[in-house]
Amino acid sequence: MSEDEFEPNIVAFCCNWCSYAGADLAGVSRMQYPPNARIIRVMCSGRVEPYFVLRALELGADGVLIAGCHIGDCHYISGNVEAEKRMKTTQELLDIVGIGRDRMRLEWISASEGQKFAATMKEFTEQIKKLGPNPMPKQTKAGKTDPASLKRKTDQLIEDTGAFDCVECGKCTTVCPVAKYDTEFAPRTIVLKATEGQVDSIVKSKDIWTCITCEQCNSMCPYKVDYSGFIRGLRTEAATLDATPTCSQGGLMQGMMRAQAYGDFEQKRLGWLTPELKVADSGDVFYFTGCVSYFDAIFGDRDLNLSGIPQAVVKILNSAGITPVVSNNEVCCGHDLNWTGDEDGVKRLMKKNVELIKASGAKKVVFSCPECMRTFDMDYQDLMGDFDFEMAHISEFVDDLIQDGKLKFKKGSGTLTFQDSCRLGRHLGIYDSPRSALKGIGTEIVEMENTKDKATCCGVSSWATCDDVARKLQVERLKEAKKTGADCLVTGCYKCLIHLACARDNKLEGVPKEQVDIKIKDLSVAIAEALE
Amino acid sequence: MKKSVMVIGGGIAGIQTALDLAEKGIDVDLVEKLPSIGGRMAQLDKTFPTNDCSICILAPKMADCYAHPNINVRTYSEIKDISGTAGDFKVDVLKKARFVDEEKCNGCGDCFKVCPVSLPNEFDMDMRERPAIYMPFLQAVPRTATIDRAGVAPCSSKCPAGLSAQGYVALIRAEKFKEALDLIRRTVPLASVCGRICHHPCEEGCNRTDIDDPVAIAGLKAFVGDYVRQQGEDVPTPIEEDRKEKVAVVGAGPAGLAAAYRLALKGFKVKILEATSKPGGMLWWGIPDYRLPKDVLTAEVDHLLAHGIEIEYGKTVGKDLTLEDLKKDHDAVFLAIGAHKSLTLGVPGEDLEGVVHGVDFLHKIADKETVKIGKKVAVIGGGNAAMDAARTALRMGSDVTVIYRRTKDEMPAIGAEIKGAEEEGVKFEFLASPVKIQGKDGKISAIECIRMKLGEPDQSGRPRPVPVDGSEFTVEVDTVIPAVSQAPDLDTLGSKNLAVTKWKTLEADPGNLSTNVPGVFAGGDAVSGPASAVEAFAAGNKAARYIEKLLNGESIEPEPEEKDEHVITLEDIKARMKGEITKSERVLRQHLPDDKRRTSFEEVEKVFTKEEALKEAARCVSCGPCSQCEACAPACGPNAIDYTMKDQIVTLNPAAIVVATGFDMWDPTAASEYGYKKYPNVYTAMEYERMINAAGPTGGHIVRRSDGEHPKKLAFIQCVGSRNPQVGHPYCCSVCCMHATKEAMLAREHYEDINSTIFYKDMRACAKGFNEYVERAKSDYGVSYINSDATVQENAETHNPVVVFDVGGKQQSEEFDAVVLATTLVPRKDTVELAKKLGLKLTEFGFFESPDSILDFGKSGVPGIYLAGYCAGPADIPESVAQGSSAAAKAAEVLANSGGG
Ligand SMILES: Cc1cc2nc3c(=O)[nH]c(=O)nc-3n(C[C@H](O)[C@H](O)[C@H](O)COP(=O)(O)OP(=O)(O)OC[C@H]3O[C@@H](n4cnc5c(N)ncnc54)[C@H](O)[C@@H]3O)c2cc1C
Ligand code: SF4
Ligand code: SF4
Ligand code: SF4
Ligand code: SF4
Ligand code: SF4
Ligand code: SF4
Repeated sequence: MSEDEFEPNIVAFCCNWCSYAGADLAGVSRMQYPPNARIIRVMCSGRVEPYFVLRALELGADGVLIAGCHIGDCHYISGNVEAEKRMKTTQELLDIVGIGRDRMRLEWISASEGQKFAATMKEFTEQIKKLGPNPMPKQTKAGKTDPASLKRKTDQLIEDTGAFDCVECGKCTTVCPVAKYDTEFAPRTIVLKATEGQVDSIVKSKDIWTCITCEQCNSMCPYKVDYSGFIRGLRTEAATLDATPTCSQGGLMQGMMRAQAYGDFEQKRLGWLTPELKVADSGDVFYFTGCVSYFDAIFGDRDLNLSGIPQAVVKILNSAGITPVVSNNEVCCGHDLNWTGDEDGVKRLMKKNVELIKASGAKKVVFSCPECMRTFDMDYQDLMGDFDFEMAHISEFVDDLIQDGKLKFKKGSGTLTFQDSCRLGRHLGIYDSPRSALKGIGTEIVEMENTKDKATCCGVSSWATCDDVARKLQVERLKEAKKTGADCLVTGCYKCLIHLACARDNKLEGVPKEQVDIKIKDLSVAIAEALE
Repeated sequence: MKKSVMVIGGGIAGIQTALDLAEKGIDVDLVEKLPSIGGRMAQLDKTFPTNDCSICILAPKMADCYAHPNINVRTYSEIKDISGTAGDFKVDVLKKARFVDEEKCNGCGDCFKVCPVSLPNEFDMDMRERPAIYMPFLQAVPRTATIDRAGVAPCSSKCPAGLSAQGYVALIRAEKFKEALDLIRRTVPLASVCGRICHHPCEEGCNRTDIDDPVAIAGLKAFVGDYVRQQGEDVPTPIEEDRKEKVAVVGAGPAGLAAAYRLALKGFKVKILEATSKPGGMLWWGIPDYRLPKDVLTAEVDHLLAHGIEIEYGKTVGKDLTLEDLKKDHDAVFLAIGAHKSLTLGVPGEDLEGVVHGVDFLHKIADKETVKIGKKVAVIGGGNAAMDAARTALRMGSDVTVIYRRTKDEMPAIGAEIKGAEEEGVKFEFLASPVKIQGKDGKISAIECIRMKLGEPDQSGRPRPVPVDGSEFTVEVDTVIPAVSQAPDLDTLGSKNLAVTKWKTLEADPGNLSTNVPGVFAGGDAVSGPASAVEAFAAGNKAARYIEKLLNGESIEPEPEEKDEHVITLEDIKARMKGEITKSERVLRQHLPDDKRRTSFEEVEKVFTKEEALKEAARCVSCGPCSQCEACAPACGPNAIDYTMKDQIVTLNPAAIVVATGFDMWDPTAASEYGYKKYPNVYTAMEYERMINAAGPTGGHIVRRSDGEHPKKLAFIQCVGSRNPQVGHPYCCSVCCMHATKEAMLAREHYEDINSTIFYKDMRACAKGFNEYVERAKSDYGVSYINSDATVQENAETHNPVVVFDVGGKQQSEEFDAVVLATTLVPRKDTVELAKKLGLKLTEFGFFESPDSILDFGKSGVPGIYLAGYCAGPADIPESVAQGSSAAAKAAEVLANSGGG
């Protein structure tokens, strides 16, 4: 398509009370403006979540316009203020992922401003024309799976995950944290149904999305049934049937990840990299940061200091005399796509990441996100065979540095309690190194009632299970942490940090604040703060 | 030669094998590791599916075994080594010393009552205690006590006098104070004294040191000496023998007193000649009151003298009478004159007014003579005499500096003394040595010193101090107390015949303490140079032993001093205690307030009160575990106890071997989802079996650990650790479905109001009437069965276990009063080792493998070796018995074929 032929598709979200009426007026008044816009009426501009924008772009829009009442005129008092905030986040995200903020625009247009609507449309269409077509590959609809092949695939899954060995003992149900609060849910029942051949009904049931894949059951199952793997496989099948639930933030995260998987954009993911941090383009140690900059954009309004995590990691490495490779071309590891049924997306991301690491010449990859590490260590290697580079979680790496005397710390004080995230703990089996690293910085560690392989997790997996049960699990965990009397709850996982802090900072029905109010900090940050 | 069969393991399988063979006229050696045969079946209350009393049907078989003329039951024995082949094996069997003569002991149990040591009783699953001398259970076969002695406690092994420190600590803990004192007196005649002043190497060795702090062993000794005396129970021991031989002891210090006391107890006529006016030697003249009050010393010495010892004060041998005079009147002489002569510094100015030598200074103080010292005192030296002089001078109001040529680490004084001096404000000048005492008008004005640095180690192993050239400095003082060392005053002794070493000490054979003059012995500081009281006690004891031999007309050839007993380590204890040892703080002795310490001579460290002593003694972890207190032997009527027994190796020559070593119980602590050890009311099935047994730890009552109440709602959880590849036991243990059913029935038999629920994976009740048994449990005993695995949590308030399970696709939970875990049964820990010795293969689960498990079960891979019972894989009692008989038949065949039998 040559440039002058290009007629962009524009989606305009207009609020019911002002902008939609404005557009109407423009029409009624026969004002001329380009016909590229598909207008979608929303009750308030505040309703337009970042995900709306992303989804529109994913489904073929070249530009997105959001229009609402002028500040002060909102029919719902402050919906448009919300919209403005959300817009900032959306713009940031579009910048980071490389689509660019220019593909969207926010305007205040009142019911009487037909003129302004027409002008805005004209301008915006011009702007998008200049930018050219949206480079995001269009998402295709899932193909239908026929019942016979579904049966074949699930049979294979039952075989591969050892679900075949299940003796129906029910121990999984007794330890499942979800089953404790959700009486509709029992892992034993799902395995049972699958082995009995009721595949269709379970693939379409919500149960496979209720599981938080925490692997409490895997670790306890006498017959070592890989329950979480079994669930993941079923989700892949469910995705082919389009039987997927809506994820947190409307699925924004998955959208970002798909953009990285299927698109080919120049990202801006190193916004956290401050000048005093030393990094390189090639070298022995590759630091894989994970999607922390995306999370930071989304949760920027919360007091989480997510950017502080990669900063802390580089600071630690630098002070041990290591200049790590950090790359703007890193893409999401695909963990969340993998656990929400998009196997293809994972494979694409994997290819990009592995090529990048190989090109850097690194012999070792360090992770501060346990999900990335799990995905590399277990899922990538399952697909690609063993890598010739080593992988280490930052706690393992730091622990070794401390043992070798390469890091010096201030005299430590205070007591900490450590949250074993499900990925770092039960999935990867790393329990000792975070503790020994924290001891290395001179703090005392007190354990929660349920710890190590018995630790309950943050309740939300792959942004797909944020619900009432998750909240209960978070509260339970915070209470346990608080009970230890520790000054701070240290986590080794970005998501534990985000989710536990979310529970702590929100209103909780029937839970006094003082039972859950505890400082939460990332492991790398805690270590970096203790550096001499 | 008549051929025999060896059966390894005396459980029901081994017993059956032995009996079958013996009945065929074949000789059997039944080798059992534990003190009694019987195996696990002896621990069970009843057996399924008949609910017969387990021990009632087992005990007759055990007794038959023991009484059978063809069976040699070898308990407390293990296989060391095996060689040879079928028809002709050679087996070395280690017969562990049980310290009780099997022939003489009648199992009366009198010894159990006197033993001060308490240990967890393994037979009762550690739910009650047993003494160190014990029989595992009432019906044990053989009916013989065994002393549980794995070695010697480090405290006892470190004591220079060889005192059983663990022994008296144990006796104190058991509130057997008089017995404790008697034990101490057997090696250390002055307990109150020794407990106050000993440098206690026992405490340095104590196994608690690495857990928290050593047990205050010495402090306990001081306590028990004082306490028994205060109770008026410290009465002299009646002397039974009356010997006419006379022994002269020269010197009433610790060495002399110890020898005199020992010999007096043996009935000899003992006379002590003491040059000074008081008894105790250095204890009186050297050690100040704030460490050892004179009344304590006097009282204890008086106790010794009350054993018919004559003492003459103010008699100096060499001056008032000669050694030759003594020899004429006595059959033996012991010279224990100590080392009281101060050595000089050998620097200019030592003759100035204001120089007092350490020992002389202390001597005068003890004699209540007035000694004038100045405002600023320098004490030279780093030994106990120096510390005592410094602390005394301080109490007289002076400003005191100790000058020592090495560093604090090398100081020979007792740690407590150095610490005491520091606390009281004595100053230290380390790495300095005096070169000159400066004077003005014949009086001291200052002391000139030179700096030292540490060089190569000298003979004593301490680094040799070397002066640093040009580093001289002066300290202004008006009094100098040199306390560098002492030597025996051989001039006064005045005998030219006695051999003397180049260090100017008396020469005596270290083996028997005899000198070159026949009949004359010597020991203590006079021989060793200045050392310690406890070493002097040891010397006195030794001299007494050889003097007695001499007077008995026996050879005084030194006996070899064997000290080869294994010293118990912390690792040994941890292994025995199955886990960590809990920390407990050392009870500290009350101290005199600081201000009083600097001005008065009152005793600084107060002796423990009874409560403190009991608390402190309870910290001892009974390393031995037998404390070697030797309290049991005198309690034994038939004289069956023999502390000198040694492990023995017996080599046997069986034609065939049957292995029947049984199983171990799996410890579910690590599987924390069941809450065992975390929640008090969670039990293992074997604990429960012991509990419901009338002879068990609770006398047959089912009680909750948390409150002693009997539970009304009881849950049993099946397959705990079995059928679980995750924890490494994929197999079904084959007995717990049934024993849980049995146990649930028994609960109802004990209490009408108990309701039991059994959580199971699937019920394995095949054949042998088991299915009917389960049905009976349901219908007649109200036992409910729930088809779900389960995990356990707890209601923290009531300590009620909460069982979580899955019924109807829902996680459910229910509170019970107690939970019983049917834990799996696993191969014994030593199976691998035994397999290696026997050349046997193991199954994937770790049991002994029978290669043809279908048509020829019981044959191991090695010809002539057969298997029976649980060691070859899960089997209940009837199966174990059947396998035993089958193995016996197979073994008999070997005998027939090899021409024996
Ligand atoms: C709680 C519980 C309840 C049970 N209830 C029943 C029941 O009601 N009915 C029933 O039929 N079964 C029951 N069982 C099973 C029963 O206890 C076993 O089947 C039976 O004890 C097996 O006998 P055994 O001789 O093979 O082994 P064991 O009884 O274990 O005897 C083995 C003997 O060998 C000795 N030994 C081990 N190693 C060596 C060595 N290297 N050298 C020398 N000696 C060695 C051991 O000290 C032991 O004395 C129960 C088990 C448990 C745990
Ligand atoms: S714990 Fe394992 S064997 Fe038991 S029901 Fe669950 S999946 Fe099946
Ligand atoms: S993975 Fe976690 S949430 Fe899912 S069934 Fe197992 S225990 Fe429950
Ligand atoms: S010597 Fe003492 S501790 Fe040892 S068994 Fe005898 S009474 Fe018990
Ligand atoms: S713990 Fe007891 S027996 Fe062991 S060394 Fe210390 S005092 Fe002796
Ligand atoms: S007192 Fe003697 S006879 Fe009685 S049980 Fe003890 S050792 Fe045996
Ligand atoms: S006997 Fe019953 S309880 Fe025991 S392991 Fe087998 S099935 Fe489980």
